[in-house]
Amino acid sequence: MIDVEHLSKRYGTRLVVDDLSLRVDVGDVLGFIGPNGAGKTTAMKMISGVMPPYAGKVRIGGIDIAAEPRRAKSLIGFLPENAPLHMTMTVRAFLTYTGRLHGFYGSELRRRVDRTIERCALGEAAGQEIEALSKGYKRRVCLAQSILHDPAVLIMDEPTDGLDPNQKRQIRDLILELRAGTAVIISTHILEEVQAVCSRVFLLCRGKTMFDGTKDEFRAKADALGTDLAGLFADMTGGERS
Amino acid sequence: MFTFFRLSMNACRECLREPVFYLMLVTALIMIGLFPFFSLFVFRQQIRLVCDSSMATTMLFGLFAAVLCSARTITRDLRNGTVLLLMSKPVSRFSFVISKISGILVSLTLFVFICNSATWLSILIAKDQFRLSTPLLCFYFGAICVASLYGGIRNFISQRSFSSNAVIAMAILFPIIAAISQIVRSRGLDDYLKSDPETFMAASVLLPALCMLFFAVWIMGVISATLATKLEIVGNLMICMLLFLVGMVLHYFAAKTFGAGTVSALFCTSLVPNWQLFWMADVLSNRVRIPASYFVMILLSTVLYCAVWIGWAFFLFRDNELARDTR
Repeated sequence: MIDVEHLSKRYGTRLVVDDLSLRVDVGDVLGFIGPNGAGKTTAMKMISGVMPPYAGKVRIGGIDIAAEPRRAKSLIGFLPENAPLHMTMTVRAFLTYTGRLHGFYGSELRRRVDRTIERCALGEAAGQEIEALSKGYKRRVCLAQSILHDPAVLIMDEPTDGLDPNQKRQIRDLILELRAGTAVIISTHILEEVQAVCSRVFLLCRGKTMFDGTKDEFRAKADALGTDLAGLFADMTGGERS
Repeated sequence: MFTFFRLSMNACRECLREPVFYLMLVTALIMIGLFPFFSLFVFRQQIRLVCDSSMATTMLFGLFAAVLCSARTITRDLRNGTVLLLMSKPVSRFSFVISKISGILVSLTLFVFICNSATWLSILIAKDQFRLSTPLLCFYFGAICVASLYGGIRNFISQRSFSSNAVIAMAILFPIIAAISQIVRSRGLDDYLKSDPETFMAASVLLPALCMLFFAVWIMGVISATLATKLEIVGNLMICMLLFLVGMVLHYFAAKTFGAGTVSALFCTSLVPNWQLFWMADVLSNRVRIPASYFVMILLSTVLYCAVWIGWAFFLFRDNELARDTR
């Protein structure tokens, strides 16, 4: 469902993503991990089509995102970091607005908005302005806009960042529920999240691919080195073990 | 097309919801409403004074409103990452830029429309050199109060935006009061306070001149929106102010340096809009009707300027690394 080939990105002379290639199929949840500044967010933006790559190709459902961006983007649900939302809108108005951008109108739009509000447990906050919501609720609104159109591909940048343990569990349950018909990429630096929801691991450090395999292979590698996942992460990214 | 419409509407709504937009509008309206008082200090030139001052206020506040709206809808979206949400939807960069600019222009149109209606009313308030129309003066400031009260009630009862509701109420009240007052004045129905016939201004003379301000503010809006794709609000405002000041004097210095009508002078003056072309206060004070050909020429040059700056905005936004704070 997601095909990324030799993706690179430069900011001036600095290469932040270097020859990244990956493939994610329906049912996969790819944990995109790496230390801060590894290039995860930049890669997410390129894969979701909001930022043009310096080199390389991204195909979503076989559609080249550079050649047919609108068709490709209609298959993507993107959850950016930090929940950037239109703060003066109510939750329902915001979801209705994003639904219209996907081309839904009338009863179909209402049905989707109601269903998404229910799925993301936003019922209590539906009539409130987003600005007045807690961080957890804002994150859920952001997640809601990304799944409203039943995307075939879900790209999530730090989906549980700043949430309390209960909210984290709810979001993770939702991701597991969504994976059945969706290819999911989760960018995170929380290894606990990888263990909880991911089926595959992709480790990025200073823009370069350090590991691409299943979660079991990642764990086996850690076992072979006689360490845990955090230790392996530190070894592969040049950090210090705790 | 629907996507473009939705994005434009949302950009416009964001501008109107901004409390600073309301504050600037009310400040401009209060200033325009007070200009008739100064007519007591001029000799039979009260209309000129009110026209000049009101149009200058509209133009200058229009510039500030343009920069504010651009910063609110483009710079802030780029900085906080909201643009990522929009660009991850089936929305092209071109339609994003065009729809944001259209939304800004709609809100600026509303701003100038209210200020122009207030100018019209203000001219009617300045009946002659020694007297002001007190009932109209009460209606004028009453309209501001009623609109603000309406915004407050809507905000208190149904949590709707105070600013946008108050602005929309003003957009309805001011032209209605101005139109009714003009009809009353033109038919001599308020002859208990006879106005000076020399100072009465026909709507057919006044309205085309005020329309010119729309064109000037649209150009300012497009320029500030273009700059907002790269600059923060202060940088944007500084450059817009500079373009405004340079545009006021450039044609004079270009003509003096290169000679009037020469290719060099024309090239020089075409780089920056000549704001004097939109300034019809002199025409108004002489009761001269603006020729239709001039109106069309200014409209075409406005469209051309806007098209060039929109092209530039798209070029700048195309290479923009979105969402600086979230990168």
